Amino acid sequence: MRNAEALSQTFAVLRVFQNVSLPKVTPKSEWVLNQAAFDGFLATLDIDRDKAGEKYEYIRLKLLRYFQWCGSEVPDIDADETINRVTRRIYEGQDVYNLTGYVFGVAKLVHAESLKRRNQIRALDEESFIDPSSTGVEVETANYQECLERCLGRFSDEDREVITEYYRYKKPDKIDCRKRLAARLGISLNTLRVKMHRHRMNLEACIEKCLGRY
Amino acid sequence: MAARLISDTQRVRYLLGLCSLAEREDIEWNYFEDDDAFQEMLTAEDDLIDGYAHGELTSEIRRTFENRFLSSLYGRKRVQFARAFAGAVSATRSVETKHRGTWLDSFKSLQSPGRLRTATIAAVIVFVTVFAWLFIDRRRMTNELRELHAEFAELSKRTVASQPRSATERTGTGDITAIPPELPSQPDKPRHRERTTTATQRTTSSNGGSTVRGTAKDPNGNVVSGATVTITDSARYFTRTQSTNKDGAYVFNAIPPGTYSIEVTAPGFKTALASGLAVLVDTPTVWDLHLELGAVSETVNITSTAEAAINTSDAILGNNFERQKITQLPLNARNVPNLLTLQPGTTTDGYVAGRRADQANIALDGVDVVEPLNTYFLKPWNTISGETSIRIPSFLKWIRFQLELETAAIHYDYRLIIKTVDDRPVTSVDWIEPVTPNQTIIDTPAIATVDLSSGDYVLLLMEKKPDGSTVKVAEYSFEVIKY
Repeated sequence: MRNAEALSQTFAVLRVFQNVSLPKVTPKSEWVLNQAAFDGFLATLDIDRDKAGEKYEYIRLKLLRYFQWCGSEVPDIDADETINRVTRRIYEGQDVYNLTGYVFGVAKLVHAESLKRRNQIRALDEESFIDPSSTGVEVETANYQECLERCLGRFSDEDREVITEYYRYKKPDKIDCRKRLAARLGISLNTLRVKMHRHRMNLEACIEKCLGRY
Repeated sequence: MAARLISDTQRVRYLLGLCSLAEREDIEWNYFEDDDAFQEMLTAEDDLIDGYAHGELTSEIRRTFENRFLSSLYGRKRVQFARAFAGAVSATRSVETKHRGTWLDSFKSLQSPGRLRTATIAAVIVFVTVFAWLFIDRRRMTNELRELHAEFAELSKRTVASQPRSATERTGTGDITAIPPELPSQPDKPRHRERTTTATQRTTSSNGGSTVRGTAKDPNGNVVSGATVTITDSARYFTRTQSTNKDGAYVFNAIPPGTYSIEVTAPGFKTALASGLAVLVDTPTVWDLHLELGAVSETVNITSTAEAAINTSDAILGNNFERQKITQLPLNARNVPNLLTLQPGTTTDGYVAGRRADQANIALDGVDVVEPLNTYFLKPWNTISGETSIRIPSFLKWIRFQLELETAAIHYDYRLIIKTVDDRPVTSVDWIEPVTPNQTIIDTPAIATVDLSSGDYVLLLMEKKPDGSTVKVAEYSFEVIKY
């Protein structure tokens, strides 16, 4: 019964996304991303294809967070649209001297268009609009806990201990304890924070993957 | 646009959507251009979400956070993760707390500035308390050490004094059952020795002997030093001699109970001879000697009237039964050990001065005689110490059975069952098997104390198997004779 409810909620969320954004996201032109264009984009990032791949992932992550922090309802679609546009411009021969700055500029435009589109939808179909915040996303707690424990179990004992130590304390002891932990590990506090964030991202990704099996 | 440093507060304001447009663009440009700045944004977001999950945000920021984050799928997922993750970390911590010593964690938690002062005060209080306790305890131990030194010196003197005793001087056969109901009354014959029995506490330093001490004085009451004092028990051919010290004092330690005479000689004084001095077990006798002026060849006879009713010399508890009491007191079946229960502090069950019967000891002429009387050793597939009858004084109700096992047999519990010959159960004792000896025979064997009256019994030794069943491994038939 609980599984069925969670499933129906998930479908509801998907329907919202389809209603709100998918039909409205249209590229400026009929241009479609192709392999040659994408290779050109990667070559702009780095000559080494592997490093270029890493940089691509990082830029996409920045775009994803940017749109999330800006309140985009479909951050991944907006991020991909941004990359598509930049790739097309490079493929068409645009000289890009500061790729990051260029990507940021395009992202702002995409975000502005996204906001405008959302406002238009709300104005046209006020009654049929469903606020995404009103739909639940919480999957069954038991499944979530099980996935969390399973994913935590994949860390090494040492990493798990550091994670536990890092997230153990609340304010006001949190800062001091993290400083001591960083000193004990022989790294800077900032490095520790980044390391913990990566662990956290891996953990969240693992949970997402795990929940997909239910 | 040059990248510039962004504070944590600005990042939080940005994440909550509280920045101005210019400030917002500045921050976004910053983290797009600078990877480190982007990482700091990510960790700032983690902290903000954790703060919400832990309930650390103010109500205003909390409302803003909810409007900003919970309106998106992404935000709700991250909050859900933060809550679950906080629960998991908390659970891990509690498990660690249970399984590990947490003194280190406690110490770490004390290092926060808010608790440092309290911890310092507590540490000072503890330090002062411990120091005071150590100081008091040291004084107490010093006093105890001083007393022990004194006691040791006294014991050393006793040991030295008792060394001249030869084996022939020792009295008693060690068998209390051999005491005849009617003891002979001729003290002048060596074979007619006066026996004494005594019930004492094991914990005291009782050795079954006694002490005679006193001071030699002249007619004016001045002490006489250097006088030769000889104590003699003619019945045992027991003699010991010493000189008075500068205070005129003499002490004879660890001398056997009996009737003694004392002879004192000193230059310028008549020889003093005292006889009939009764020396009782564990009852020090004080006898001051008063010398008269005259030639040494002259003798002054003194009749003994010394009687030490109360021991004021040491803490030993003891009493003796002289021949006269043994022969004259009404006594059922002439059971001499029963007389011991007439002593102050001794019950009919053999309890002495509040201690249990099995903590009391019975000495005959200073020799322990209890142990062989009522402790019997059980060995599976063997007999009870080779005995078929057990003879014990009637006032000692208990009989101790001591289990001796070989190492190979110690892995089981044993049960001792005693029945009458007509199969009426008397008692059943379970031995718990806690011993892990590294010797062939258990040196700390199980002991069962049972209360048996006179009669015929059958003793069964049962071995308890791991599945709970019991198997008989030995059976003994024996007779208890109480006298």
